[in-house]
Amino acid sequence: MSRHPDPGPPILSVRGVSKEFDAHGRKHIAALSGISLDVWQGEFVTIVGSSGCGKTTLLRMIAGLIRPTAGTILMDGHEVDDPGPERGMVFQAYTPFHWLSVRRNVEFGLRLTRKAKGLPPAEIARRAEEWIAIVGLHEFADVYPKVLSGGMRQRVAIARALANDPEILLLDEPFGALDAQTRTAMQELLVKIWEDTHKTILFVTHDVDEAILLSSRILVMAPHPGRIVEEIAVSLPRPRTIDTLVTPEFLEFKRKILGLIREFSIAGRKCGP
Amino acid sequence: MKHRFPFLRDITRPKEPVSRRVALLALWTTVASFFGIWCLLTYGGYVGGIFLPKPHKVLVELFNLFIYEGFLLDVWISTSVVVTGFLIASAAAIPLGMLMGSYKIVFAMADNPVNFVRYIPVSGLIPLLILWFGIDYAQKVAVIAIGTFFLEVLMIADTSAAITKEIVDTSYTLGANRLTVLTKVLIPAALPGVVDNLRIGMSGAWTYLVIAELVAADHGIGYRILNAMRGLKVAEIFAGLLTIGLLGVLFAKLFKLILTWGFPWYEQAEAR
Repeated sequence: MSRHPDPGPPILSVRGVSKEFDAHGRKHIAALSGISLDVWQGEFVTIVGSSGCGKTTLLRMIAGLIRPTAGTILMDGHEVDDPGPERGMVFQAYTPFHWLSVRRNVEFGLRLTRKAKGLPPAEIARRAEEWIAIVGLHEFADVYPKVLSGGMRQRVAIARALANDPEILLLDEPFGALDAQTRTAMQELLVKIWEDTHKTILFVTHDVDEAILLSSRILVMAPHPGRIVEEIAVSLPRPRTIDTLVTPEFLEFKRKILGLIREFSIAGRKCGP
Repeated sequence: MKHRFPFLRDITRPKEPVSRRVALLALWTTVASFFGIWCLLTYGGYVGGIFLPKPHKVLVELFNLFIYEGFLLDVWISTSVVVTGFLIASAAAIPLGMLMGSYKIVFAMADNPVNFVRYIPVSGLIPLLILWFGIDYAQKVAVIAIGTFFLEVLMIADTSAAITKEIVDTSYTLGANRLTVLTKVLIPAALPGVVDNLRIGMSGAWTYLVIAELVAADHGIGYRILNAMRGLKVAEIFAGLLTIGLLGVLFAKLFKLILTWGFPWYEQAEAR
């Protein structure tokens, strides 16, 4: 996968974004400072960094759930001001709507935007069915989330976000609460979906292995204040499997990223308050 | 290691579920011990009949009340006062509670005022309520409605507030707006919890009944109890209390049924 499969303008463009919080009377704690990044159509970009570096805050700003203190975020050239269905999001916490069956969960966004998009009910049902099958939940289409395991709940969340056909999928440590085996299965599922659909994905994680295995490009963030310190194109061939984890190329990427995270977290502590 | 009493080991383990049969056995153990102590104290002659009636006397009294003294009418009047007061209270508490739990601005407006009024005993409001509503039906309903409203509203606010921000944020990223997030997410997510809050509200409504019937009543279970007290008819007091208790169990079952049938997706907590 080349770095910019689509040579046109980026679909997502973050320009000089900063975010300050007021906390405990100490005013204007800089959570993020001068963030700029671009994401092109069809890319799988991962933001990696230690906890507290502001990567979740950045993703939530791109989703339109919080507003930056300074700077602009452009989606398809339009400034992001509010959340919208063209920026689907999956959270680390389990978010299936527990009062709806799996099928109704996946149909949720389509039913909401049905009138605007002029979707007939049969088309909504067909698309939901398709995405339920893709994430492997067809046997559970009509059950309520309370009987589903953590991994299955995240499958519902992914299918629900993608059935809505977003231009970019934002994922905030979606597999962080899953056990190692389930996480691997979910990573493989996500990469397969990405390869099959050419969806643009912006993924946030603190797991360096996960970042290298999944992405075409990695942005490394450092804390105090949160900023992007390095951009790395992951040239490893696909498919990437557990065998990839022990290749010298993989280990070279891992060494580099871990080194960056360590360097900046120590530096950050030194000049912190 | 083999335990000498595997049954004892199982039932003393925290959070461990017990079978339906064991649960029923446990219930009857409670009822039987309660009844046994009662029998022992009264038939054994340890407590005089003027303080604690013999069980059979309460049953006879219940029979007399229903057959000869038109007690069914009292039960009907009390139930209608309680249910009317409960419905008025809930009609106000459900929307206000949900708004308080969902919108920080409504919470800021209502939280302290609600707490302020909540700490005023309803019995202290009775003189005022008599002045405003007279001494009839309306005043009794008002006592129950006010008491129940303030009991329910903060519970419902808590239930609504417990819906996670991630659930709300997710619905925004799926295309929900301010209105649809309320109608399609916040309300359906909170409903079963609210029904459970109403169950507790209903039990509160019954506790306000006797206060409501304290003044100028000529019918009702509470009136009967107070009247029996004046005549030291202790068996009748017990018969009245027993009736309220049984009605309470009935209403609790009704709310449990609504939860089970109306909200199959809801994960009910047992001990509440």
